[in-house]
Amino acid sequence: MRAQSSRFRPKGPEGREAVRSLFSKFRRVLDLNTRVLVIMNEMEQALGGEYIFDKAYLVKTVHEVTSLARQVIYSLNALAEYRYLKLFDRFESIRSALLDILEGKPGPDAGSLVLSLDRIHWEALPLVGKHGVCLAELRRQDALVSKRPLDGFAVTALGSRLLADTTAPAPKKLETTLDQELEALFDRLGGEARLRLTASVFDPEDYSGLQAPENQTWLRDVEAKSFVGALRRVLENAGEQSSAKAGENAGTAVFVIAQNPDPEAAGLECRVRTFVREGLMEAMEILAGKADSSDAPSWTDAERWLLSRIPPYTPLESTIAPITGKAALSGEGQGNLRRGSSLLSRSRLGELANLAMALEHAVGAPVTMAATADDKGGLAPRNASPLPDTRRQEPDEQDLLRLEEELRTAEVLLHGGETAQLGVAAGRVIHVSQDTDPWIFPLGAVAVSPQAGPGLSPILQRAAALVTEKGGASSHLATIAREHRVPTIMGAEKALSLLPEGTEVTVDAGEHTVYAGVLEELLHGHDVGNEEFYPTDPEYIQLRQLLRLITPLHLLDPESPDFTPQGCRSIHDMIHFSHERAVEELLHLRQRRGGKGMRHLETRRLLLDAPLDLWVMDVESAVVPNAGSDLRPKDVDCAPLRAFLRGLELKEMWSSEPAALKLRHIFSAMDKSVGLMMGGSPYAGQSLAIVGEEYVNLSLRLGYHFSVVDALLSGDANNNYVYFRFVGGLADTAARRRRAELIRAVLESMNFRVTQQDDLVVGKLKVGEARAMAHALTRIGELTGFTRQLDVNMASDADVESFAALFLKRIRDGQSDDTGSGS
Amino acid sequence: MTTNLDRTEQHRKRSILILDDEPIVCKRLKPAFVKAGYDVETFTDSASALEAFKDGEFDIVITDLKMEGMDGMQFLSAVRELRPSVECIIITGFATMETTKESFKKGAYDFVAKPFKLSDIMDLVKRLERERLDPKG
Repeated sequence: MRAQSSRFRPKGPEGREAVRSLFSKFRRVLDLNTRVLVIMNEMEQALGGEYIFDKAYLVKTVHEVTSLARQVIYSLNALAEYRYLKLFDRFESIRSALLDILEGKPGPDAGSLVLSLDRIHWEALPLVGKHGVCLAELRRQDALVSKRPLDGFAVTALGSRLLADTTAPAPKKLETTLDQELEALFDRLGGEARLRLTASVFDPEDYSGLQAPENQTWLRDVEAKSFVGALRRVLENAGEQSSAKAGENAGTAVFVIAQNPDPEAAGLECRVRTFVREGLMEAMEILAGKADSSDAPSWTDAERWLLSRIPPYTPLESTIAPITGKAALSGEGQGNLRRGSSLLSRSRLGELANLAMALEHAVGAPVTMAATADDKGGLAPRNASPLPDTRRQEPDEQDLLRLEEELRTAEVLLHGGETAQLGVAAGRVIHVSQDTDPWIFPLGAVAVSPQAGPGLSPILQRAAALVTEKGGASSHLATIAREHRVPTIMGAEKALSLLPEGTEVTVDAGEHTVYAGVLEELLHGHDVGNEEFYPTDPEYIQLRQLLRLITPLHLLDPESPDFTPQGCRSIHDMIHFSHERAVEELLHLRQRRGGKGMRHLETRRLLLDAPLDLWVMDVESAVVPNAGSDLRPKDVDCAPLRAFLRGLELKEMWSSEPAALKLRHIFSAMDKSVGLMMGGSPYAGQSLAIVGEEYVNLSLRLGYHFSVVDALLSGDANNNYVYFRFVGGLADTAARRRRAELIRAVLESMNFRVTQQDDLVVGKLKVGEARAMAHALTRIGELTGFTRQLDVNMASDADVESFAALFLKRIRDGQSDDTGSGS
Repeated sequence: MTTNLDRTEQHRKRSILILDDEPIVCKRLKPAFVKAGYDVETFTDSASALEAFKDGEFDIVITDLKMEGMDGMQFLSAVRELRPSVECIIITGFATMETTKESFKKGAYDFVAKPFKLSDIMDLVKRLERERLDPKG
């Protein structure tokens, strides 16, 4: 294409000023977003226990984060000509809920009548009591080891109150919700099942020291049609038996739990109490016995085990009852008594101990757990309750001396990294990656990983502790570690080599230290009072309630119909929405503002060693003062543009062979995608770069395909991002789609979050050091050159892989740096 | 968890008084310092803390600033008057330039804004011991 005049002279400076003003508002959205993200990160880290804070901190922080979020929304609206005023309404709604929580009022679930176990967390304590929270955690733990975990739901204190009023029929809303939960439960189970109903009376304000529920009643074989009646009977029994100690604020919750799916399998009833004291011995107790005819286990003649509370939960004592057989033992002539054969095997003891201790850790205090072990090898937990916490609250002098001696002689395998979640745990080291099947990861092992990607979440939940070489306390995986209170150290260099697979270790996450072997005194220290932050602390629950409205990101897909102001359910949603819409505003700047000043902007041609007609608009004095009318890359002091051009100008990327153009290709190009991105602009046929020192917005036209690159490379990794959008092409639909798949594959290999629809590919890379982002931009520059007219050569799906390999080969031939890393 | 491995027969355990009207702060600080080898007593009201200080032999005081009744600044002045050798650390969620200056004027060793890392305050106490309570040479 013959170049037009090399300088488009503006009629006045207004247009450039308009763009600079918009760019300034955009940067303000970014800067405010970053500040909110930093505060969110601090709040999340506070949950991990490393920080000491008080209620005043929560009040101050909530006010700060809501004030900043309001400013983000204001800046977005100023940028986008006030198209998002509804976001203010949504903001006020969430802000009110946050202030309610600070005043001690129940959180957003306060009006819930029924909650499935999956929806019950510590924040639901005032609605379902500690027994309810315990059951929910038991389900979560069971789900890690069983494909058919414990399942059910709770009728909350509010729902129970409505049901208990037998003078009136149950409210329609409650009946409907119960029906829906029951149906959903049976769907998950694959059919109807026996249900067990248990009522629990509790004091909604009792946070300190867990207590067993005072009343439990249960029924068998409840049919759906008599469900409400059965619930009412259970509540009536609970009401008659409730203790006066529960107080006037007492609530009653009813738990509907599906029974063991195979009631015909012969079962052994097991009960675990994770903390018992016998004399000076502190241990875990496991009882096992056959259930009697009423399906209630009798523990009188039960087999009894006392195990160490420290992994590998070594048996300390056992009482095994003699088993009477039907026939005389052969060769012995001593009748038919068998001695020494326990009902529980060592491996079954280990399974029960692992599950119960994992539950204790999740609950933050000792628990009792009931389970059925069938003769087919299955283990089905049925119930769990908190135990009165009789652990000592302070170490004595002997404890401290033993601890000191143990630490003095302990071998330190690793010291370093960052604490993501406080805590001490022991187990066998297993090296993992994001590709490791979580189902083969042993429950209670110590996971050690080179990376810290969110794909490790399922493994994290099964691990006693996690150590990673990369990542930090503000990563997404760290958030999950805090959610599940798994002791975690991140960013520990050489962890894989320092912690060989199979080694027994003790991880002290608070001290960033891993010791060889199981340090019993260090682990025992958790039974005598420690500095961790527990679910039994009211501040912990309040922080969790606040975080639920601040940090979760529900709006992930900007193309989704839910990506609206009304779809925002958290502060994070709102700032994310604002950021996305602000980026979109700049991306479509020329289309939306073409008649309002864009025509008057000065652009200068950028002379390149690539067949691209690129013009530059400088919004932040990125162009050096003494540059000529035509620019060279060295005249533009824009880091992201330079990174992109490094890849674009790589000669190896530009195919010198003529494309195998056929007539059908030309005809097929005449479709709706062609005009989409450049409609009506005076720059049609040319490519445009809007540049600042750290920012670039590129609209690229190469033949019949169009790309947009939007990137920020600054000194603050939290601010940085690369956005890439690609669409179009000359070949038929299938071939264009294949090229899009190739682009998607390359972007995904660089940890971009990518969506593709036919020949449209959108990739985003967020939060990363400037160097890593620059690598990604260089790669995109290379991809831009490589994929030009590539679609016409992609005749089959196999070409996607072969051209991807060719791309990588050309990178190596061009000696490009191939170390791009993602967020 | 590290312990105070430098204890010798010549050194008695250092004694720390922690005052904060928020129970969660006391609850979490105490076990950390106990495991590190200190004798620790905690209080959530300044009147009881002052009485205990008069009767006890505390080496270090860690106090919050904003409390009902006698606030942290008054408590700081009171304990320094009773025993000028006591070393004090202020912890607060309302740190301002004025309160920081005033704390140092009244003889505080250092001033820590909430939220703070457990390890940071432990390190601060150790630094205080090295510089003020066990100076070398």
